[in-house]
Parts: sequence; structure tokens; C-alpha cells
Amino acid sequence: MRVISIVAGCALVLALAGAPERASAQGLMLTGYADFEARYAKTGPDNSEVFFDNYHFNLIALGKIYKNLFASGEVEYEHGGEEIMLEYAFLSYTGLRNVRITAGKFIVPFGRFNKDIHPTWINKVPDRPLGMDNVFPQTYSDVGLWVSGAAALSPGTRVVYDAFVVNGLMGEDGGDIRDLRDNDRDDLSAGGRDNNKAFGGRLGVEVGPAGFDLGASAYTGNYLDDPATNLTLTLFGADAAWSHRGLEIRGEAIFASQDATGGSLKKKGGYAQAAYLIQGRFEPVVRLSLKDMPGEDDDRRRFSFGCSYYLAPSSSVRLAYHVNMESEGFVTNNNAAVAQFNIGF
Amino acid sequence: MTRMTSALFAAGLLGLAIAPARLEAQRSGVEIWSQTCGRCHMPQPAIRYTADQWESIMLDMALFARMTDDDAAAVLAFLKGGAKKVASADSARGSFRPWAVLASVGPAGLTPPPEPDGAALYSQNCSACHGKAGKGDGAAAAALNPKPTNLADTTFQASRTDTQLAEAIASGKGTMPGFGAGLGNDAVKALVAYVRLLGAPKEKNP
Repeated sequence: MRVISIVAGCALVLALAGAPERASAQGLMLTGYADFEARYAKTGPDNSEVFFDNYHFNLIALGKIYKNLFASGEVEYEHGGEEIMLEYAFLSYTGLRNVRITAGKFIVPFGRFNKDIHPTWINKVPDRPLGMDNVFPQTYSDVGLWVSGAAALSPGTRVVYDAFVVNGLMGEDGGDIRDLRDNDRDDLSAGGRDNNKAFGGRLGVEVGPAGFDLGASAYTGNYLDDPATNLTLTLFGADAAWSHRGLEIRGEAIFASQDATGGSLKKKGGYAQAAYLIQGRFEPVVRLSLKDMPGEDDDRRRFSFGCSYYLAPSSSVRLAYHVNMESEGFVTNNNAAVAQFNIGF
Repeated sequence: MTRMTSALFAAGLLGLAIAPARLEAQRSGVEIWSQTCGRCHMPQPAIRYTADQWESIMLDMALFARMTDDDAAAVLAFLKGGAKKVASADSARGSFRPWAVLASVGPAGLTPPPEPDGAALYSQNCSACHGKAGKGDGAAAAALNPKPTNLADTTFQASRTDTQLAEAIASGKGTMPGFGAGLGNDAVKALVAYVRLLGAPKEKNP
């Protein structure tokens, strides 16, 4: 599957970037984002590690390919190692008023962090919040159909919607939600392809002049294609953001209900974050994130604080420190410090 | 219960998807640009890309930011108005020029930056709202509330220090977005100097 992803991604990038001159007039672009990190993390009572990480070097090709047809694809290269994946690659039809129909592999529109906030040049705290790993498996992209758009209620206020049907998450009975991704045609890891589709979407309201942005998301689908068990995974999410001048406050909460033969597993996670932009350059930030898992030992709280210095609107140097407030099951507190340079280009 | 809730949610989404959306927001592109793009990241200055590139970017951003067609068109018009000019057909192709990126983000850059032109910067970034002469009567002003400041007003000019003007330009004020990160300190200083010219007493013909 990885080989196919790499080949498909590279082919897409090369095809778009190397398109004939006629196409270049339509504004085909090669963009993306990259970051470099230096990390210090506690790994034991008396141990720690310091390492460099080329966390992302992601290339995005996008452009109008014919009249109302738009294509976009992102090849994701992570950690400077062998991990190369196709994060998304889709065709989008733009011919209907206020309605976009997208087909292909896309980032599943659930909440804000998964689809909008996670790129490192946007995410104000290096690393994803707790809850965006084992409760919602960010970054989650999947193959299917996606309908989205907006309707204006009044000047500056609009209702936004996303609805999708995808192959869905799939994996082992009661398995970690993060391990349920990559249910595409070639994935046979769970004993065969899942014939059940997953449905969901997000409904939101944006009040521009007041700086409010509220939304609710849902996802449901069988994650184990077994007539005898018929196990379903359902996710609900709520997100809110408020910005006023340099102040931005945002948060998300996710609730998961995962059927398992031993009983339903309830998981929840989320974060709250506040940042304040000073003089258009400095931006201190604090974030509290958590996850509550079925096993008490897996519960976790994390307090993160840091500061960004913006070199340009899409490039910054960020410093952050994570303080983990552990339950007893964790051997160490895993506190970590991160220095990151990022750029969206 | 879960199934029913999910079904209701899906039905709501479908209803919105097929409903006619004729209640269009009549807002200026700069206002929508500031508020919508700023929801996720710092709004990118118009001059960063060419008009063709903005066309492609807005197709992508309209999808990601769930903009109405009218909002997307207004933002695109604003961005294309201040877009980077293309020297040749070849330079319109692609935007990935690492040396240009490095030169633009480094504190000093790899090449000596040109002296900021306050008048040009004002025309590209400010005149849409504040108007050509700074009277707060730009094309976008009608849709803004509160209205853009009349920079030509001598009372306003007297009430602000250069530092205050620079802070407002860099960090934003009211509905005005900040331009500091996008333009840099030298450009902000050049804008302050040009704004002072707008408020300078005009010589009368003898």
C-alpha cells in the first residue's frame, strides 16, 4: 500500500507541476509545508533523549484542471525516515452554487483540528493535543465522497456544512482507534476489506464580526465487518473558537463509543487553547489537553505552554514545553521541550 | 439512540446541502479575507502570489474554509487587486522557489531588500478601505462597520504618535487585520511615513 501511495502521490505532483503551458495559465501550483524540530523528552526517571526531527516535509499540488474541476493532492514525508504517505488526493467539482462535491481521498471533516488546524505552520503548539490520537485518530483521511459548502444567513454570518461517506475506520475488536485507519482497497490487515461504509459530517456556524465559530461533528460506521458481532464505532465532537483582535481561544471535545465483545468502550478527549498575538510577531500560547480512556491507567492530562515568533505570516519559530500530569500507569511523566522552525510555502 | 442522532444529523446536513443559499453576504473582500482566513492562520498578504496563483489557492481555500461562492469571489477580487505582478509567462508557473522563500522569511534575507515604497504599499494594502487619499472612503469602506479611519483628518493625525500608528498597522485594530508579520518592520515604518503625508496640510494655490 505504501508503494502505491508513493507512486500515486509522486505521479500526481509531477503531473500537475509538469503540466503543459496551457495548464499553467490556470494557476497550477506546488506548495506545501515543512518543519524542523529539536526535542528533549524524559524517557524514564533517570533517562532522557535529545534528537532532531524533520517532522514534516509535505508537498501539495493543486489547481483547476478543467472548467469546474479542481484537483489537489498532498504527499506527506515525515520524520526524515521512510514514512511517505499520500495524505489526500481528490477531485472537486465546483460547478454548483455554494456546493462542492469532492471525490477521492480527503481529510475527513470532523472537528477543526483534523482538517484545518493540524499543519505545523498553523498549529500554535508543536504536537497534536491529547485526544487527537486515541479518541480521534488525527490526521484521518479516507476514500469516499464529500459534499460541503456554506449558506449566508446575514452579512458575516454563515452556516457551514460537511457531509461524507467513506470506507471508514476498520480494525480489531476493541482496538485502539488510532490503529483503525487506512481501510483502503489494498488493506487486508483486518482479514479483508470492510464492506460497510461510514457516514458523518460537521455542521457549524460562523459569526464573522463577533469572531465566533461553533460546530458539531459526527461519525458512525462498523469497524469490524463481522455479521456475528457487527461492531460499531461512533464519534461525536464539538468545537468552538473565538477571536478578538490578537486573542484567540479555541477548544474541541470528542466522545467515542466503541462496541466491543466485552462491552461498549467509552473514550473521550479534547483540548482548550488560548493564544495572544503581540505586535504581529510574538504569540504566547497555553493549552490544556486530556484523554479519558476505559482503563484508568491510560488517562492523561497535559499542560503545554510556549511562544511563537513569526518571521512571516506562514513561517515561525516556536518554543513549547509539555507538562504531563500522569495517572499511575505511566512510569515517567514524559515531559518534553520542543523548538520548532516551520514554514508554509 | 446513537443511530437516530446520527440519522438526524445526516438529514440536517443533507437539507443544508440542497437548500438554496440566496441570502448572500454583501461584505468587502478585505473584511472576509481578514475574518475567514484569520480563523486558521495569519492572512497572507495579496502580494505574495500572482493573480493566477490566487485563483488556484482560492479554489482550495473556499473548500477548506467553507466559503460561500460570493464570499470567495469577493476575497479573490481583493487578493488579485494587490497580487504580485508577473514579469514573464514563465514566472507565472509554480510558486516553489526556495531561494525566494528563504529571502522573504530570513531576518535579513539572502539578497538586500529593496527600500520599501510607502505609496506603493499603501496602494496595495490600505487604499481598498482607507481610500486613495486616506479619507476612509475606499471601495470596501461601505461594507465596513465601524468605518475605516479618515487618515487625512488632522485631528486624528495629531492624536496619534508614530509608535501608535505603527502598532495599529502591525497588529491590527478593530476590523483591520495586522500587516506587521506580512510586510515587516521597514514596510510598516514606510507606511507610517506615508500616512503622515496623507494628513499633512495641503498647500493652497496662491
